[in-house]
This record gives sequence, C-alpha cells and structure tokens, in this order.
Amino acid sequence: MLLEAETREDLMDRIDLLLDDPGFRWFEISLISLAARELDDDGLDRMADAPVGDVIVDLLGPGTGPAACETERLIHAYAEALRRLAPEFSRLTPQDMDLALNAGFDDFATPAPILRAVLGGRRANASFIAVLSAPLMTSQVAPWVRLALVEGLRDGLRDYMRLIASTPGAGVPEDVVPLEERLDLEALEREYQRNRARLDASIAETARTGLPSRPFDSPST
Amino acid sequence: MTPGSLVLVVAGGGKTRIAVVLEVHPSVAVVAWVTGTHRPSHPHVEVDQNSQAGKALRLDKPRYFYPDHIETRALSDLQRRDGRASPQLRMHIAGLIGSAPATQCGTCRRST
Repeated sequence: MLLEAETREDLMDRIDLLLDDPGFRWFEISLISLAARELDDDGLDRMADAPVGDVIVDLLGPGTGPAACETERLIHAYAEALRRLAPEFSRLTPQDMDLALNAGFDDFATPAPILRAVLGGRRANASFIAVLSAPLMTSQVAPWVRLALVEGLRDGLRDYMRLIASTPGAGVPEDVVPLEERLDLEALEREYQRNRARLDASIAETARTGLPSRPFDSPST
Repeated sequence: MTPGSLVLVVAGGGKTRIAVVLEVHPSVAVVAWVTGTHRPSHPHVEVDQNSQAGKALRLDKPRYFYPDHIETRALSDLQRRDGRASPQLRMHIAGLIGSAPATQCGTCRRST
C-alpha cells in the first residue's frame, strides 16, 4: 500500500491512514514485543554497539545516502536509550504497549507535544516496515518513494527521540537531540492535569444536565 | 464510536456542523466542531478542503477549529457519519488548548 504511493503527500497520507488500522496496531505491538524479547537476549546491545554503516543504503540504494546515515544514527541512539531503560521496557505487557501506542489519542487532555512524539514514533514504525519490505519489490519501488520512506523514518524518529531523550536515565547525547529540543515532562504533566480537570468538570456537567458544556471557553489559568 | 470518529452536531444558531470525536465516555463525548467563519486573531486550526483532513471531513471550502468550539455533548446529541479524522488532525486540535508552539503541515494548519 505505501510502496504504491503516487506522490510524496500521498505517501504521507497513506502512512497516517495506516496508523488508524487495527491490523497495523497489532503488527506494531508484535514488533515491540519482539524488541522487548531481544532486550533479554542482548539484541539491543548488538544493535547499539554495531558501527553506523550503510544498512539502509544497502536495502534501498545509494540515492538515500545522507538521510539514511542520519536515520541510522538516530536508530543507534534509540537502541542505546532502550538499553539504558531496559528494566522498564522489558516489563511492558502487550496490553501496556497497546495503551502506550494509543493512550494519548484516546485522552484529549494529553498535551500536543506528547502526541507529536507518539505520532512520530508510529510514523517511524510504518516507514521502517515499508523500508524493510522495499527490497522485496525493488523493481516496482520508485527512487523517490525509497527516499521519502527514509526521510519519513528519520523525521518520525526525530520527533519520537525528543520524548525518549527527555526521559530520565535515557542518556541520549546532545548532538542527537539538543537540550533545547527536549520536552519539559514535569510542565507537560501539569498541563495534562489542568486539561484533565477542565474536561472532567465539563463531562460531569453534561452528564448531569444533558446540555453541552465548553471546557476551554476561557483562557487556562 | 471512538476517538477520531466523525459526527454531526447542532451547534449555536441551530446549524448542523461536522465534528471530530475526541473522547468517548458512558453517556458523554468530547467533540470539536468546525465552522466556516475565520477569526484570524484567535487560535485556530485551518483545514483546507483539498487536504487529506479536508477530504476525510468532506469539506467544500476551508473550515476552522477553535478552542471554544470544543464541547462535551450527550451521546444522544450526536449523529454518526462516515469517515475518520487522522491522528495528525487530532494532534493539531489538541494544540489549541495547550502551550504547544504553532505547527504547520500539508494537511492542516494551526495559527495563534
């Protein structure tokens, strides 16, 4: 589906449509479960310790060079962060993962920077799966599609890594995610609580009266 | 009905508006409805009719989301319609109620 896109915008639209597909969510959970198992097998150690090379270029061709190199650098930093956070990550159940993939989008109180990071991670997952499958259809995949997939993977990872880098103990280097790009998780938690309180008050009012209520009709205090 | 579903609501003035479902509770949903009125000085998300979001909402001209058009509604007030709002559009609507910087992309715009 992604590899048959007709324009770059069409490709990005197809990726976003895929994210709402329950089948794709199941696939993502399987992928994350596999990664969690790999943690027990030192798989992430191997991934993080491997030299940044030409894996993506080998998969998709030399036209993806600069974007592929930066993408691989982000993947290495991500693997290293997961290795540091491994005790937390390896305890996740498939149910936890399902919640994590969608929680922000089921809860409107979640601040937009968190949603952007989660969306970036999910777009990266979709792009990564397409990158892995592209060599199977090399003759049919246009060069621009290959490049757009790598750039989609890179951009999604960049957004997601802003959240990972902001997590205490992740140890993401500043040359991967500069300090000024990191999220203030404590401030976002306060913002979430303010939003949640307003929403809950309006929900209770509408449940009681049956009438519409506007939780954000006046500026937040 | 789930977050991202599209519904019709009767808004102020008795006009029927397209709305995006943002949360669903036992008897109440949180929705954001669109209007054709552009208030450039207010925080808003613009959805172009030719964008993916505009096509999903089946718009015939640009429409706008505003923070004061986010409402809690009784489920019995909502009429289901086909289609879904993308996670990107829902993220941009979420940006209306917080401190997130303005965002711009190919499918919808947020302005402050």
